[in-house]
Amino acid sequence: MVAGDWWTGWLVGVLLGAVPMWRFAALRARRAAEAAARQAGPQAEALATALRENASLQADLDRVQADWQKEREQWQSAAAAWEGQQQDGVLKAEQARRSQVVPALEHIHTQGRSLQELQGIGKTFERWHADMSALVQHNRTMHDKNDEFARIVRQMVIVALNASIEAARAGAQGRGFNVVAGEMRELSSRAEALSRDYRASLYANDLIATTTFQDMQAGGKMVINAAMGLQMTNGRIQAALEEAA
Amino acid sequence: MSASGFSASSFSAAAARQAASEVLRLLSQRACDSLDRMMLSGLRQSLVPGDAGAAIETVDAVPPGAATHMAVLSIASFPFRLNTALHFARTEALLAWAARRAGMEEGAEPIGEQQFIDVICEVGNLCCGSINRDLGEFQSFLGLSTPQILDVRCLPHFVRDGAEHLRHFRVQVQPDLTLYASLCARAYLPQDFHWSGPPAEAAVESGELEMF
Repeated sequence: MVAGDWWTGWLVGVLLGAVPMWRFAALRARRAAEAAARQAGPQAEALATALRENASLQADLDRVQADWQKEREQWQSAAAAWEGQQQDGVLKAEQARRSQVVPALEHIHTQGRSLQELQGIGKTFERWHADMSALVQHNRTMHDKNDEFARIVRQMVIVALNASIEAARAGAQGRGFNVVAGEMRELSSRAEALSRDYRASLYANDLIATTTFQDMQAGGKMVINAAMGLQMTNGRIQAALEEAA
Repeated sequence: MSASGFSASSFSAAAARQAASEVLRLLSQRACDSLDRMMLSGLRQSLVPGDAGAAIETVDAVPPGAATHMAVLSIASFPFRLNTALHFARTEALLAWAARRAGMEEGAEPIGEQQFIDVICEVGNLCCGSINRDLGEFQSFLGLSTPQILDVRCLPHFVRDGAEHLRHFRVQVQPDLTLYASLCARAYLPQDFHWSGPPAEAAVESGELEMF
């Protein structure tokens, strides 16, 4: 019983002490809430304003995003069209290039064959060389004949001189013979001059024939060298075209 | 083979100049001088290779009796042609020199006729090959003929053939051997170029190698 009273007394005491304390605390809490409400008023208003601005900005952002998306789609469409055009252009250019390269390659092949055949001009020069050798040999024969002619003429001069001496010995009877011997001497002298002149002409002929032939021969080598150079260039062009074709 | 009638070869360069003055001059003076230098260089390389002191000079005429024959070669291009002539006679000194040049041993049998001519023609080829190379600096298209042996009495007719420039040269191959050569040029289009000499000589001429 004593213990029950004690606990009853303790409970009453606590209640009697707690009620005022609770009421005091509630009062302070209300006053604090009122003070907080008074202070929170402008902040809430600012928050509301911020929220409105945020909403406005979000709307702007959405519009911009929508516009950007639209623009992007347009650009993608244009890029696809451009790429298509490019591919079409490349295809056409390739077709045009092939239509030019293939005939050019055929021309190069033809030219290469012609240049190869041109090398055969050497055969012509060999023929000229043979003709030249024949001409030089012919000139030598003419030199020999002219030398023989000159020897005959010198003999004629001696014979004519002897005839003049014999005619002089014969005195008056040899006068007619002396005239003939004189004519013979004159003819021999002219023949000797003619032989000298002819010899000089033969030497001129040797030189003219030789230098003319050599000019043709050297010119021919020049043409062959030029043709070989052209053939090499032709080969390089052909290789480049074949690579491009 | 005799030297009889050689008096024709005393035909001089002065006469050539007189004859050339009667035709239209297409070769400039410096082109003629350049050709002379090329010929000098070619003669040095072909006749006295390695002997920088060998005397090679231009002369007014080839003395009578100096030769009986000549090896003639031509260099052709579109606008001009050159003829060169290496004069020779079958002297003991030249035959011995040719034998050595052909690689024959001292005291061996005398050099044969064809071997001798081959040596002479080889010298002509080397000389003209050198000129051909030098001319290549100025002309893209050039051709060289094969050599032909002619009687030296043909020489005066070079000018009658329309030569515009004729020059004779004397080469002291060795103390007892002197050879003569001739250069004859004819142009068909105006020619003007300058060649100062082989690279080494040209460098010395311009002072580049003086310190050496």
